[in-house]
Amino acid sequence: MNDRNQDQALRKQLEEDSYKWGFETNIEMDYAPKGLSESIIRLISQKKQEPEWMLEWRLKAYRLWKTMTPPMWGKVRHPVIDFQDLHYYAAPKKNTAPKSLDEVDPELLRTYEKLGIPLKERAILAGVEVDENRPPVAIDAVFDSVSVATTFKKTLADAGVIFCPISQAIRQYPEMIQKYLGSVVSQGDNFYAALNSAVFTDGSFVYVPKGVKCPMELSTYFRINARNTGQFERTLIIADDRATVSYLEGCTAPQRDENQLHAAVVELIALEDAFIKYSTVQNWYPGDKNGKGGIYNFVTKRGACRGARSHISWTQVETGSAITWKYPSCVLQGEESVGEFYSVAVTNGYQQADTGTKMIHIGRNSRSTILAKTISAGKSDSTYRGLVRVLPKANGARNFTECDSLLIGNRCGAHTVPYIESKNSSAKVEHEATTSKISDEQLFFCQQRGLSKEAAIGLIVNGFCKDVLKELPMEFAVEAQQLLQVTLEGSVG
Amino acid sequence: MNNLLEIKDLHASVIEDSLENNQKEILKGINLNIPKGEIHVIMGPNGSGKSTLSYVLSGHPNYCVTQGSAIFKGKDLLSMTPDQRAAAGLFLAFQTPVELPGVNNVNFLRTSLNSIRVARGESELNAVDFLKLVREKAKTLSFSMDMLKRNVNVGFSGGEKKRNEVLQMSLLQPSFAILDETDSGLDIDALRIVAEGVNSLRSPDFSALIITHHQRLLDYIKPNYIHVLAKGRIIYTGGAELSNQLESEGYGRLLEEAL
Amino acid sequence: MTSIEMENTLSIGLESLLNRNSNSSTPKEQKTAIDLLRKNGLSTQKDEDWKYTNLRWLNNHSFHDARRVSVDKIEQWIDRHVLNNPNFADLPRLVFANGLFCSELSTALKCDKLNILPDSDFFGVLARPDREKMATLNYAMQNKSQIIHVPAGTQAGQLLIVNLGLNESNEYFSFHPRFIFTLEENSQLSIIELNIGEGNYFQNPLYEFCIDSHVKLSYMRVLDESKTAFHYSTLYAALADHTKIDTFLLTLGGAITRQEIYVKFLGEWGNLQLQAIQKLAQQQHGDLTFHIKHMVPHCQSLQNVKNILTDHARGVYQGKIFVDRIAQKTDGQQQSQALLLSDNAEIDTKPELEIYADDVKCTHGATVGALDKEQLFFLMARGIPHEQAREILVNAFLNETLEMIQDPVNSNMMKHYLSMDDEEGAIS
Repeated sequence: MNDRNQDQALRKQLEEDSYKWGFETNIEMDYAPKGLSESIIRLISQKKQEPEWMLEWRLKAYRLWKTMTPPMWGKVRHPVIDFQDLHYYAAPKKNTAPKSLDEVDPELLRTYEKLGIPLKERAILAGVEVDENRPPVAIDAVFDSVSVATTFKKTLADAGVIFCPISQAIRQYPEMIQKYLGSVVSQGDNFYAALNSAVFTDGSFVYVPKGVKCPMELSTYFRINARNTGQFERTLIIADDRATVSYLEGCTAPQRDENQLHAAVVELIALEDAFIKYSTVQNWYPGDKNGKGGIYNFVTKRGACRGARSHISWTQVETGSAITWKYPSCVLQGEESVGEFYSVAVTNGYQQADTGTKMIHIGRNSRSTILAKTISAGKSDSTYRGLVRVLPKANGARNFTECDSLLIGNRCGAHTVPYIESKNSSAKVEHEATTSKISDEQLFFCQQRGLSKEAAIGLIVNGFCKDVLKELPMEFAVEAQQLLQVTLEGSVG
Repeated sequence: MNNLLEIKDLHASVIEDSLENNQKEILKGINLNIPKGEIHVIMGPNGSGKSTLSYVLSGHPNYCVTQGSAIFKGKDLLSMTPDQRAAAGLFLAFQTPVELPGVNNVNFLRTSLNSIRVARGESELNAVDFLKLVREKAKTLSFSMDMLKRNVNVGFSGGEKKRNEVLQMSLLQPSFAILDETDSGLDIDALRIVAEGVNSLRSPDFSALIITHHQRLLDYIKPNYIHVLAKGRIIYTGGAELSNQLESEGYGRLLEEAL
Repeated sequence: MTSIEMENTLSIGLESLLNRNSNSSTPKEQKTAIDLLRKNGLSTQKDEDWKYTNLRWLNNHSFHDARRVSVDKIEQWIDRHVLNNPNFADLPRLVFANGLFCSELSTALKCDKLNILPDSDFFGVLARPDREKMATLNYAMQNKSQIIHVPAGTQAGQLLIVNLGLNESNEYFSFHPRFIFTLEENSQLSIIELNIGEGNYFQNPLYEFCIDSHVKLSYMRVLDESKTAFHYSTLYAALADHTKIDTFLLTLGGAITRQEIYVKFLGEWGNLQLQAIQKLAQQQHGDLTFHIKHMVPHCQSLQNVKNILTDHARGVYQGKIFVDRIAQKTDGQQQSQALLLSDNAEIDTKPELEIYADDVKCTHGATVGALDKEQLFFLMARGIPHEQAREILVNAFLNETLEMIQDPVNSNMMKHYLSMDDEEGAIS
C-alpha cells in the first residue's frame, strides 16, 4: 500500500459520519430552468453542440416518455416524483470546455481528491512504476451533468481505444453513435430509459477495436452535487471482434434532505469473441437514519452479446441509494455467448432495493450464471428479481442461478422473485435460493475470540459475499468490503 | 467366418454440447477382430480413447463415427440403435453406472430382460419365473435382496454399483460384453466376484472386451490377447503375458517404438 | 382487435356471465361482487399474478346456465368412469353435476360422521372476493354454498367428491360451485375429489377450509376435465395450531386450467404439504398459483410441483412463501421441476419468497430440462426401446412425488390416473 492509500484508509476509519462522501462542493453552477419540455431538450442539445439528428432522437424519446407511466411492479415505495420540479441540466460554470486537466476548476479536482479519485495523471503514472499491485486506471469523471475530465487519453489512443465523454463522441464519431446508441436499450424501453434518452447530458463512450485488449481498466466516477438535479448519464461501450475491456463505475452524492433522481442508461455491445466486464460499486447517499433524503437510483443497464462466443459479465455491489431499481441484463444473441451477473445488495435503515437481472437466451448453447447475495438490516427491504428466458431457438442453453438472502434483525425484509420461462426442451435451467440469518453461535464464537459484534457481523457478511466480491477488480474489492461494513453499522442493537 | 466382431479403420469424434461444429477426433483408425469365444483386453494410458471405443460400439449419442466400420455377427453394428445392439447380444458394463432415481431396480431388470427377449422373439418371463432367476443370480454375486428393492444405483456404493452391472450382465447373457474399467475402485472380494461373473459366462459363444488399467483383474480372467491403445490407435498386440510387462515397465517404451 | 385490446374488453365475456343474474333478491355478498366486477373487470395480464394465464377465451363464447342432468345419466356416467375403480366403489360420496347437488347419488348424506348442508345460504368467511377475481366471479354467480362439517374429535375417514361437468350441446355452460369445509378440533378427514366431464363448460369453483387445532386433513384433487373445458378454481385455507394437511393436485385434463391456493398459518406447529403434478399435452395450459402465508412461528410448509409437458402444452407455476416478522422458526420450501418433452412445450415458473423474519429456513429450487441423456442411453444399452425408456424415466420423475403419498389407496388412485398401474410388488 502506498502512502496515499494508507492515508485514505486511516481517514476512513477516523471518519465519524457514516456517509463520508456527503460533503458538498461550492462551485458556481450553470442550471437549466426546472421542468421538462421540448424547449428544455432543445436547450440541452444546443449546450452540447449536438447535430440535428441527435436532437431528433431525443425528441422522439421525449414524445414516447410522455405516453408512458412509471413502472409499478417493483417492490419499492416512494412518493410520486414531480418530474417538472427538477433541473435537467446543471454544469459547473467554469468548465465550459476543458482542453486539458490544467484547465479544470481546481475546486472540482479537490472534490475528486476527497472522493479518493486520482484524476491527476502524473500522480498515478508515478505510482504505476513503483507499485505493480495497482494497475493504472483511466478515469472519466462525471460531475452532475457533465464529464469533467478523462485521464490517460494518450495511452488509450495509442492502443486504438476510444474513451471519451459521450457528448464528445456524438460530435466526433457520429456513425458509431447512430449505429449503436439505443440499439440495446431503445428510447421507449421503459419509463426511465425514455426519460434518460430525452435528457441525458453526459456519460462515457468506449470503443475497443478488433483484436485489442484494452491496456488498462476504464473507470467512471459519478457525482451528484447540485440541488434539485436529476442525473441522467448515458454510457455506451462497444467491444469489437476479439476485443477485451474491463470497466468500473463508482458513484457518490452529497447528503441532502430531499430525494434526488438518478436515471442512467448503460448499453454494452460485445461482438464476436469479445469480452466486457462491467463492475459497479454504487454508494449514492442512502438518506439519513429516519429515511429522509437519499438518491432514487432508477437505472437501466443492458448488454447485448451480439457475436458468437461473446461474453458480458456484470458485477455490482449496491450499498447506497434510498431506492435502487436496476437489472443489469444480458441479451445472449450470439452462439455460445456467455452472460454473468454477480451481485451484492446491502440495505440498512429505510433503504429499499429491487435489483436483479435478466438473461435472455436466444443463441444456441448460450450460457448464463447468476449469483445474487442480498443482505437486509434495519427497516430496509431488499428484493432479488430476476428473469431467465429461453427462446425456442436457444438449443443447449444453460442457466444456473443462486440467490441467497441474509437477514439481520426482524424489522427488515428479504425477497426473491425469480421468473423462469423456457421454450426449449434441450435447455437446462437451474435455480436455487436460500434465506438465512447470522446464527447466535457464529456471533458468539467471534466475540469470544475478541471481535466486536459489529466486526463479527462484518466478517460474516464478507464471507457470505465472498463469491461475488472476488469477481471485482482488486482495487474495487477492498473498497467494497469497507462499504459493506460501513453500510451495516448500527444494524445490531 | 469365425469373427464375432470386426472393426475396420474406425474413426470417431466426440460431440461436445458446446462445440457441435468443432468435433474432436478421438479414435483414429482402430482395426480389431474379436473371434467367438475369445477374451481381449485393451490397456493404454489415460485419454487414449479406451472408453470412447466402448461408447462407440454401444451407440452412445455423444459420439459420432466419421469413418470405418464395425460388423457384429455379420451385421452393421453402427447403424443400430443402442437397444438393438443390446438385443443383438452386446452388453456394456459402464465405467460409471448411471443412477435412476424413482426406478425400482428389480422392475428395471425385468423390463430390460423382457425387452431383449421380445426383440429376440422369445416370450417374456412372468414375475414368478423372473424372480426365481434373479434370486439365483443375485445369490452367486452376493447381491442382497435389499439392493434389488432399491432404486437403480441410487445410494449404492461404488462396489455395489459395479456388482449391479455384473448382475445385469449375468441376467442378460450377452454374447459379447464390454467391461469398461469395471475393476477400478474394487476391493479384492468385489474384484473376484466380477471375475467370476465373467468366467461363468465363458463359452465358445461368448466373447468379451475388457478395458482395464490394472493387471490384477487378469490374475482371475485369462485373456487371449492384450491390445495397447494410444492416441486413438492400437499400437501393439500381445499375449496374456504382456500385462506383466506393462505393469513393470509402463507404456513408455511401447509408445516410443510406435512413433 | 389486438390481443391487448381484447384483454381490456374482457367485459364482453364477463357481461355474458353477469347478465344471467337479473334476480332482484340477490344477497348482499353477491351484489357487492357483481358491482366489483362491473367496476374493475376481471384480471388481465397486467396483473402480476396473471402474467402467464389469461381469460381472453371468455370473449369467444357466450355462457349459459348449466342444465340439470338427469339422475340416470349421472349414475351411468359415474358407474362407467368412477366406480369402475374398485377403490372408489365403497367410499361415501357427494355427487355434483354441472355444479348442482345430486342428493340421490350422494351416499355421504347417510354418513353419521359428517354433517352435510347442501345449498346453504352462508357465503363463508375466508374467501377474499375483494382481492382474487375468480373468487369475485364465484360470489357474483352463486348464492348457495355446500357445507361439509366434521365435528370435534371425529375420525371421518374418506370422502369422495365427484364434480361432474356434462354438456351435450355446443354452447358453453358455466357453473360456480362453492364448497365450505369446517373441521373442528381433533378431527380427521380424507377427501378425494374428482373433476371430470364431457363437452363444453367453464367451471369456477371456490373452496374454503376452516381447520381447527390438531386436525388431520388429506386432500387429493384430480383435474381430468373434458378437453374443451375451462377450470379456474380458488381455494382458501386457514390453519389453527398443530394441524397436518397433505394436499395433492393432479392436473391431466382441461383446455385451460388455473388452480389458486391461499393458505394461512394462524396457529403454531402447523404442517402443510402441497404436492402437485401437471401432465399436459397438445394445446393444454395448466396454471398452479400457490400463496402460503406464515403468520405465526414454528410452522412448516412444503410445495413440490412437477410439470411434464409435451406437444404445445404450457405449464405455469407461481409459488409464494410469505413469512411475517413474528413467524420465527418457519420452515418453508418450494421445489419446482419441469420436464419439457417436445420442442414446442413451454414452462413458466416463479417461485417467490417474501420474508420478514430472520430466524427462518426458506429455500426454493427450480429446474427445467429434458430427460437425462445418460439415463436414456443406459436404459437403451440394456435393450429397452427408446419410447419405453422415455416412459420409464418420466414415471421415475413422477414416482419421486408419488412416493410421498402415504395412504396406499390415494397412491394407487394417482397411479391409476397417471396410467402407471404398475407391476410393483413383483418382489416382496
